[in-house]
Amino acid sequence: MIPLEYYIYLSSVMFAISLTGIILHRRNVIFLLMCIELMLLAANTNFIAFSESISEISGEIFVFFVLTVAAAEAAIGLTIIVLIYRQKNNIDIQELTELKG
Amino acid sequence: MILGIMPAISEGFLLLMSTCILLLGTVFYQKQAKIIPWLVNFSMFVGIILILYSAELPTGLYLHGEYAHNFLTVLLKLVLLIFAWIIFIYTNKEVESSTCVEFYVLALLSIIGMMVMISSATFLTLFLGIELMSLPIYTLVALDKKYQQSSEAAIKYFLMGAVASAIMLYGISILYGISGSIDYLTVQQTLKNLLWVGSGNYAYTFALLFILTAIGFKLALVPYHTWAPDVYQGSPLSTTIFLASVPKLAIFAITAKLLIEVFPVLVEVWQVWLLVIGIFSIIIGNLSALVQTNIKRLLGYSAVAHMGYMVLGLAATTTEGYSAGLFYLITYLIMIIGIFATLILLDKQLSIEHIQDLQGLNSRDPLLAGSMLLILLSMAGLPPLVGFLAKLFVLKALLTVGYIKLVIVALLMAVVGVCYYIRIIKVMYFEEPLHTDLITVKPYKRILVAINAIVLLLLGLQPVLLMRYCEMAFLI
Repeated sequence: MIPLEYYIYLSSVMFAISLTGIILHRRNVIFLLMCIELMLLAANTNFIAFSESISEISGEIFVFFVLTVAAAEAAIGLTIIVLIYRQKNNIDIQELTELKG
Repeated sequence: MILGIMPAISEGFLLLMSTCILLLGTVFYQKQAKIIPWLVNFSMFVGIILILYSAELPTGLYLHGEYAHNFLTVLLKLVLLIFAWIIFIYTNKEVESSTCVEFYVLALLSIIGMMVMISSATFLTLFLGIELMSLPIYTLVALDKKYQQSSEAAIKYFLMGAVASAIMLYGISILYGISGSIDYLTVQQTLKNLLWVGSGNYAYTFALLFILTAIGFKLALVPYHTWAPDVYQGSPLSTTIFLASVPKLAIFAITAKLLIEVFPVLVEVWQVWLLVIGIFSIIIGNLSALVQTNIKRLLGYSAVAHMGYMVLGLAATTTEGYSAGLFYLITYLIMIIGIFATLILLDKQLSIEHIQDLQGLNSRDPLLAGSMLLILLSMAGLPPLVGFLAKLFVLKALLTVGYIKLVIVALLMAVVGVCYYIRIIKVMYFEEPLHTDLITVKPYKRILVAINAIVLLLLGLQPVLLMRYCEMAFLI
């Protein structure tokens, strides 16, 4: 049986990686979407680990909803990216500079 | 725990209506364009009636403890629906007819999300409410498919918003690990016990900071405010009026709920956070708004400053402060809806982008210019209008708990704020118009804008009409 701490280490590393990814990566929007996905999965890992260790079901139910929401979020994000690609022929975040001030 | 769907009846009805409108809109694509605004008006009217009807129910938790019902939730939902209805009346026929159905359906779904947030009693309903509120708004921002700025604003808003909800979710997962439950009451009890035992577990402070960060993103407070001006500028006006107004009510509701109900034991932490972030929002929001030439962007920065004042009200941590914050928010929403409504009405003829586009408005349409004058003076916080009283209540609540230096800074920044509102007034009244033709606007919309401005004057003379309810909401 793997101790609870290990799961928490895993989830916090996942969260830290995805957050640094979002802060440092300034090119492709798809990468940012993947980082956001990873952040949600880090939270899911926490929920499942805690739920298992205290034998309480609501955490696992939470995970179902989070997965659904993540799918909806990815759908909307990709739609907006398609929209941008149609207008600019690339999805480089550096070239989105029309709104400034 | 009472099993009953009655407190959520209004949400259920609106969900039914939004799916009906979606169905009608897709089946009879062009022919039914006229009936859709009427259906929306009908659903908002019945929604308000249902909320008034459910107000009679005993307060408490419903739907297996997922749904709270008390005076605060009823008041906020009522205000939310009334403001949303006013927005729908203003945007009637102003939305491009090819995206009319999408606009109404998405806006209705977003309103349902806000109502779920307002009455959430567990973190699950809170998270689902936030997502149901935000996802349609990201789409609404991108609704204008030909306009390049629109999709750029949408992707910026989407990335910021999605990161904020993911951060909040991580905070919730830590809280779940500490307390083994996701409902507010149990979490609050556990935190109280933990602190009483004096256990050196700082995980709950981390969880609080994660949740506060997410709230800062959603309210556009200072370190996290960068999206607000971009999104205000980039989205079509009918979306800007929506996203600049009603979501703030729902986020205020969850902020007040979480801080007062779930984290009362960590009051030192969140009070300091709110004070710091509030005062910096006021300073940076007002100073950045000074140099703007785009009027939507200017209003975006002024929104940052106004949210700073509202948060300062919460930071007083007294009943007086909470009700002052709610009063500030509701009056701010009346002003921001009025100002964007005027811009929407003028947009067809003037194509509003910069402040200069309003040149000489007074000689072309005295009534609209006059209403805008009242609204702008109220935003600036000049005495006979309600904006002054709202600021006064917030700062008075802060003074009674003894933050004199903060109050002085906030006052100085309010003076800075007056400058840029006066600049708009100067352009409207003292510059010559480029064209001299009169503005043509539907009379009922013109009257609605005038009423909007008069309400500000009326509330400024009789604040007790609104303040009474704001106080009642936080009495318990």
